[in-house]
Amino acid sequence: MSINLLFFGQLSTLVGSNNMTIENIVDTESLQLYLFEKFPEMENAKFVIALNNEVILKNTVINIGDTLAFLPPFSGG
Amino acid sequence: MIDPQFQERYHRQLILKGFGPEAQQKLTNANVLVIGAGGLGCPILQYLAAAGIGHIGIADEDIVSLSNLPRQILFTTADVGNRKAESAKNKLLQLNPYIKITVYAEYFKQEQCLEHFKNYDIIVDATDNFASRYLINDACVLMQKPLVLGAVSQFEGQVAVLNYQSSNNLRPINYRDIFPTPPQANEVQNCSEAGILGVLPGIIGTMQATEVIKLITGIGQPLIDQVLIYNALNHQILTIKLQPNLQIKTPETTEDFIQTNYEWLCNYNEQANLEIDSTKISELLFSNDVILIDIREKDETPKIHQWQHLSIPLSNLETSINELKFGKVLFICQSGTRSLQAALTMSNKYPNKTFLSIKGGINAIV
Repeated sequence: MSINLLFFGQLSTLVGSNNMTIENIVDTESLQLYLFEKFPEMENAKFVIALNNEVILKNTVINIGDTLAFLPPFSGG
Repeated sequence: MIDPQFQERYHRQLILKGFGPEAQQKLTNANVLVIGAGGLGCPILQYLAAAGIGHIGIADEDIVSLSNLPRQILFTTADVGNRKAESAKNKLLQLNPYIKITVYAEYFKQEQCLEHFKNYDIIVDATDNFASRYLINDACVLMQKPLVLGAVSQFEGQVAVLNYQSSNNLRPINYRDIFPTPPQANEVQNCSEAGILGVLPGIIGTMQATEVIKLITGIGQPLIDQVLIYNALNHQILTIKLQPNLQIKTPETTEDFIQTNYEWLCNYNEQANLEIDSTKISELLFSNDVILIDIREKDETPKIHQWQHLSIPLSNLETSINELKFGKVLFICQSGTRSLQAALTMSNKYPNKTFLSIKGGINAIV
């Protein structure tokens, strides 16, 4: 079992996919560091993280099987 | 105005179990302000008018352009060049003559929010830029108005019900709880840069109209303090529960609100974004929606021969620009200084249009 990542809007373009699975990441802070290293442009992007469909605002432990969604703001109308 | 055929017109809603005459009456008594009569605004307005919302406000200062038509379904090709808000009103009154429609053909800034929000029960954000989104959010927090937000990008959309005062004592969530500060102009692409699938704002706008109807009538579970994300390519929907962010601040007084410069916060005046190279002129003018304006005084030379253009000296620009029916305006002057000034001023004044300055002016071409 691994951790599921979902990317929306321009983040999916930046990462090259809507979704991804990873392993061996313990919390959201280390997940971000991992992603920033892999996709440096992500560090300058604005987004909020949701863990299992709930927005998280501080570093949170990730468990196997969790889904994390990365949501950027949209301006279009 | 009382609809003599009320029973017949709303028959299918009146017989709907869990809705009925009581809910229909609530719609008749409701006042809803829709800001933006574009891709999201059109379907929102259409369904709210059809459903029988008694009073609808439409705020949009823009005019209909040809590139709007694939998604702004209230307008026809014959409407190109007409004011969106007025045009929308005419269509909606044909659809439902027994509702009241108030038109605000002006860009909503602080003054307009403070003056008009108080007349409405629900505010609907159907705008297409961050300056407006943060402005409307902050106004809703200040004036305690529920906000039904929708936003789109390429193939995806977001819907949320924000600032809804629930009976519990918790502070309602607002847009800044999700995204505390506006992205800078170059951080997030808008529809005219990134493109948009025409049907997508139709889906998202219809979801917004659904939320408005649910809030007014009390049916179902509106997306209060949640954001729904929809992807048109695979029809996947994700609903995320939002959290209050203790770090954020919205203007707490009318004075603070008035003093906040939303365009500046969103960095719309960034000069680099307003300047384009003269080699792009021919390509840009290929679109019917684009016009080149020489803003030099009448006696300045050399004259421009290679492109179709208008001559409007900078001194007359303010008064003439209002009449122009183009989505994108290219300003040119002798060296590119005055044209940049014009692009900055006009972008500020008409944030929904694009104004560009030709870098280096005529000097760079000759």
